[in-house]
Amino acid sequence: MTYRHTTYLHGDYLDGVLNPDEMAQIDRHLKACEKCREDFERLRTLTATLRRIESPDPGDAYFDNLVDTISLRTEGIEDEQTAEQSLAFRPATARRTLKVLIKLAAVITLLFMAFYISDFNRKQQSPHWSENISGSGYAGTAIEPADYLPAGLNQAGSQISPDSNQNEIDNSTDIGQ
Amino acid sequence: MTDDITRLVSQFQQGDRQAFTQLVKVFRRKVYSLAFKIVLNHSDADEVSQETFVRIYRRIGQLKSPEYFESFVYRIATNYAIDLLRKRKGRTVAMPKESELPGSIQLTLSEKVTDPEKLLENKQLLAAIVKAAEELPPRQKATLILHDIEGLAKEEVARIMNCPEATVRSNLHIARSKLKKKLGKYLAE
Repeated sequence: MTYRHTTYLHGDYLDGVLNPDEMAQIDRHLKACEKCREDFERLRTLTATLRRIESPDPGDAYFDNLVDTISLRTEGIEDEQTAEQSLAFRPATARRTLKVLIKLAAVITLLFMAFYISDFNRKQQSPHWSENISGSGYAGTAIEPADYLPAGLNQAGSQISPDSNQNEIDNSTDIGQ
Repeated sequence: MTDDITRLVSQFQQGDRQAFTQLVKVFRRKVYSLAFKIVLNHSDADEVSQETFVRIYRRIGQLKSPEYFESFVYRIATNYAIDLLRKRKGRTVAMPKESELPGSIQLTLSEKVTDPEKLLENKQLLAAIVKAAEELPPRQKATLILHDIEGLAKEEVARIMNCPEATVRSNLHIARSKLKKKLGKYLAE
């Protein structure tokens, strides 16, 4: 066992935290090595002196005053903590809020799409839609007035002769001519 | 006593302010004593004592096991005292003269000695210890105080300092070695 090694273990030896084998080894070494023995004695004197150190007593009046001061300083702490908690950013709450917002946005988008589709269908069935898309060169199947006007009436409300082609519009009777 | 403290801690955790006041009364002297040994003046020891209990009040929810309340108290006090030492480092603190202090506000050696020569020796030894301890890094100094002056076990010091027991052993060994070197002439007698 080297000199340095025993020195390192003197503290543990003094505190009695070594196992019996190590204690016996240190015992033997201390008996044989004067340098280690001196070091151990200095350590023992030091620790014994340190144990005797006492703090001053500032008196009962100081300690009574300390209790009062601490009592005053801790009075509003619960309210402060409650306020801090209510203002604090909480990731879990933020995540929940974000999820709700995403769901809300999805529902609004679906509603909008449903409205748009139904509006599109409704416009497809209206005459103006037919005219507009006919005029713009839309190549789809146009709905002709004959499809929605009562039988025997043209677009201006004129009677159509049974012989004429139902799809043929009599322009001479149109309003504004 | 330990059961009483554990009961008071549980009551305090449930919001009982009276229980907190009782705990302050039980631990105020211990906290002040430890703080004084680390910061070595009444004004800072007072600050550490006040702040320790205010922090305990704020953080009592963090204490999961009421039976470790004492370690919890020591940890908060030690950490605050170490922080204060670091803040004061490099700054000249005007220390009041001994005669200006209320009563005998200084460290003493407990032995009742009547022999004037021995009294002087004790005073010189204490002054040398204080001077040597002041030169230690704060964590080594706190470890030395908790273990060698307060007499706490290494396991408890490790809990207070929030470090492995091996670190406590190492810090203690270094601190003691430095003190042995600086106090050589006093310890050899």
